Amino acid sequence: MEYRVANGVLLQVVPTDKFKNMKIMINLTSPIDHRNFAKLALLAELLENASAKYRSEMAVSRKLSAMYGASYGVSVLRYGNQHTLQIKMTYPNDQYLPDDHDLTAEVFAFLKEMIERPLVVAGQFEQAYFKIHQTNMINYLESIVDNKEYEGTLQLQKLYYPNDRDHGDFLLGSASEIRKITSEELLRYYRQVLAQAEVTVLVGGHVDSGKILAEVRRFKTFKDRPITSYPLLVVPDPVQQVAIKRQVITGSQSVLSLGYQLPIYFGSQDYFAAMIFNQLFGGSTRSLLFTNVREKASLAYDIHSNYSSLFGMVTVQAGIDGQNEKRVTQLIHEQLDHLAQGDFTDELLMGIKRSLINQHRSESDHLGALMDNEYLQHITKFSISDNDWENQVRLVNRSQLKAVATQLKLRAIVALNSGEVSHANH
Amino acid sequence: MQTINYPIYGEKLLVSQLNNGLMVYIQPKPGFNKTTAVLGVNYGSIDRSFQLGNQTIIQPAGIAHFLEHKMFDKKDYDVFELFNQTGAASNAYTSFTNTNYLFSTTEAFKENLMILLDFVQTPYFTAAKVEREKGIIDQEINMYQNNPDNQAYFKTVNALYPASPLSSDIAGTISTVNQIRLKDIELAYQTFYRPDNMSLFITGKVDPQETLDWISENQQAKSWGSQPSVSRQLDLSQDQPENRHFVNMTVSRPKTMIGIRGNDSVPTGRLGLKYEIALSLMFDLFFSENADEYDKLYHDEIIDDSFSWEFENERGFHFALLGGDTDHPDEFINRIRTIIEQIPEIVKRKSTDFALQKKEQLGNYIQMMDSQEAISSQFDGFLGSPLTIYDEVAILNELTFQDVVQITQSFLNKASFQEVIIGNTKSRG
Repeated sequence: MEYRVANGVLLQVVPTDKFKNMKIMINLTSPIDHRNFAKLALLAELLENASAKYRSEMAVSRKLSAMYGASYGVSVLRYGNQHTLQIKMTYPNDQYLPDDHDLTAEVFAFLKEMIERPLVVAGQFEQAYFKIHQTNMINYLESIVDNKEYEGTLQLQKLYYPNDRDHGDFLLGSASEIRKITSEELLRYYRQVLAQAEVTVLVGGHVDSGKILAEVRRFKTFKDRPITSYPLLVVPDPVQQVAIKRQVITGSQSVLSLGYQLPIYFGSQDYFAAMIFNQLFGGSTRSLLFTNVREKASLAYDIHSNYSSLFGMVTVQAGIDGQNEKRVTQLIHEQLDHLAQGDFTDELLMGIKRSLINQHRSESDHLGALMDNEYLQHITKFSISDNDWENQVRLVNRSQLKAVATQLKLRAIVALNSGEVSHANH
Repeated sequence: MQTINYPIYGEKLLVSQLNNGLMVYIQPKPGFNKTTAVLGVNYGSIDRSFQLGNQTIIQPAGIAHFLEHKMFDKKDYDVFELFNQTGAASNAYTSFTNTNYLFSTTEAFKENLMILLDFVQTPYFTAAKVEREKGIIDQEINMYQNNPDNQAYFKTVNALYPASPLSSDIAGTISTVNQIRLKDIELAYQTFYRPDNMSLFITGKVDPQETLDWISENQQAKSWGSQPSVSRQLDLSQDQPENRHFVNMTVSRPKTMIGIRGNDSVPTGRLGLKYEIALSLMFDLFFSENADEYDKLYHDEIIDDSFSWEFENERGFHFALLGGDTDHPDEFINRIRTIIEQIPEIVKRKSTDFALQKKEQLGNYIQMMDSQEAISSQFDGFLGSPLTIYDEVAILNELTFQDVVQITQSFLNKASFQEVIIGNTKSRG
């Protein structure tokens, strides 16, 4: 059920009696612009941890405990070309609490406080509060390099999109960008976001729609705003050759990452074939990469592929011994060739299709997944019934899959190579 | 089949023990599409030293985890293939004391359940397959060693329990894994993978009676030979004086961890769970964002959002770990140690905070009730009596402030401590 609250402010209600908890998700969205990445990321931190009434991390945390351990989080996301500030809450249904409660009203009052009354003193976020979260964020960004898989993923993204910072940059910005932000500037930016960003509120669970609508209408800032239209799907600039980056790291394992362009997008004609292709390639424990690189050649423990349907991109990542880089790369190419030649069993394909359908049916057991899907369908304007979804999966055939595999174009390789090799000799 | 009702939450648990000793627990979730089943073996990484009849056996570190990997590798197929043919998702994991095999599915539940029971109860091992697995496990070990948070965890547990099976990583080391032979795998399997040492937990869309009939029929068709009596040997007698252990590793900021080893005795069953819940609440009273102590450390920039604590209460041991990234490892340790020393006194003044923490914990349990993953991972079938999250809520409701004070004192009065700093030699603060 959809309600228009104001121009550019929408409420979607997902009613279900299956769960003992309720979920709220508020999305504030704008067209992507890398110059805002660091600002929105730091803003998320500041909106999460204090407000005018709850003036410290402790005060917020205690309020959440008093609301029966309600969880509250603010994060930033990139849905294709859409830059998103996402606020999420989960809290138990009154029915399961001792005494009489109206937790929904309490939770909405809390959200209004956190969103509309930030911890501001003299036209800026309170200085000490701003400073500590700025420092924490810088520390976090500087520590990412300790997580080699994550570091590999971020470097691959950068290399994949040369000269395209909107898609190549890390969504949380860089330490140096965070360092440059002033408290005053950030508050100005927030006011602009509140006034101009498109707002979509989703509420799921045992809901009374009328009551929820009244609550959403009580947000003073959720007024009319212009709706900007922009393409959601990301098409990368063409490149002439594969970009390769090798870097020596300290550590016990090398991480190899590959990025391919696949010009097939969410909801398009070949979308279902692309999804199945990814499961066959490296997206499942029966995939060719898992079977041939891990199980047969014993060259990796973790090897997997990933398909991002809003970006038209397939990535592969593997944790390996540095000395095996060439052999692993060769094997990855070979698996892709197998798929392009349709060289896989019917039985494998059937199993993968069943797995996808099975997974899809399980999603209705998770309120979070139901709401994520609802939101994705809303922003992509592609909606499909469960039955049609399953039929589309069933209809995918070998020749479509071969065609998908042929369309993959390697764009970037990042090899973070550890100097060490395993000491064992088997 | 025994039925336990939890009327407040509209839930129930069905319990049955089969003739061969297998414990079966079924918790239906009407209205759900998916079913999750977990077959647990009461056998983990610490169980590598045992008495078999009058023979003493000591096996290489990492054997339980190695065996878990090998269970999937059959004569001419991989078990993942079987699950995949029906569309189910499957997985397995090994902890200090348990090995768990699980699947979840919306289709062909019976077929998958039979696959689960059959693949775990029908071994197929060869020397060649054992050798081939070593390359994969080496990469898994390298992945853990590459991760500084993981290293902080295992180095601290290692310092708390020196020269014991707890002092090794669950997966072992490249060198101990290399020592594993076919005969070790076979012996470990025969000794511990017996139905009276297993428990099956099922939740989601399920018809309990029909399911129990399927399981009984499957089990009746199998036979297990007799074996000499098994007695596990876990020698944790060695302790060492409190010390700061420095581990040299390239990290952007040092990681610091304090380990607290419990040396008091913890009751089993429901009382053990009460002990666990009480201590978790106590740690929240001092080290969650709700606590003044945490707030002070946070604003003095000794800790940040990377800080966390955990409490493990397992068969034969219990410990707590508190750790995070910090620019000031020595101050981190000194300040937190000072807080811990004062806990037995200061905890007595926190009765108001205790009430708040109880509210939060109740809500956390209700959140878990919507998740089959949480329901099944929270369940331990080897505690002597079935204890679900609904029982945990009941224990929480009955828990008094006095209980928390007493349990805290019993734990901390006898506890011993170790500290670990992961850092570059130059970054030592």
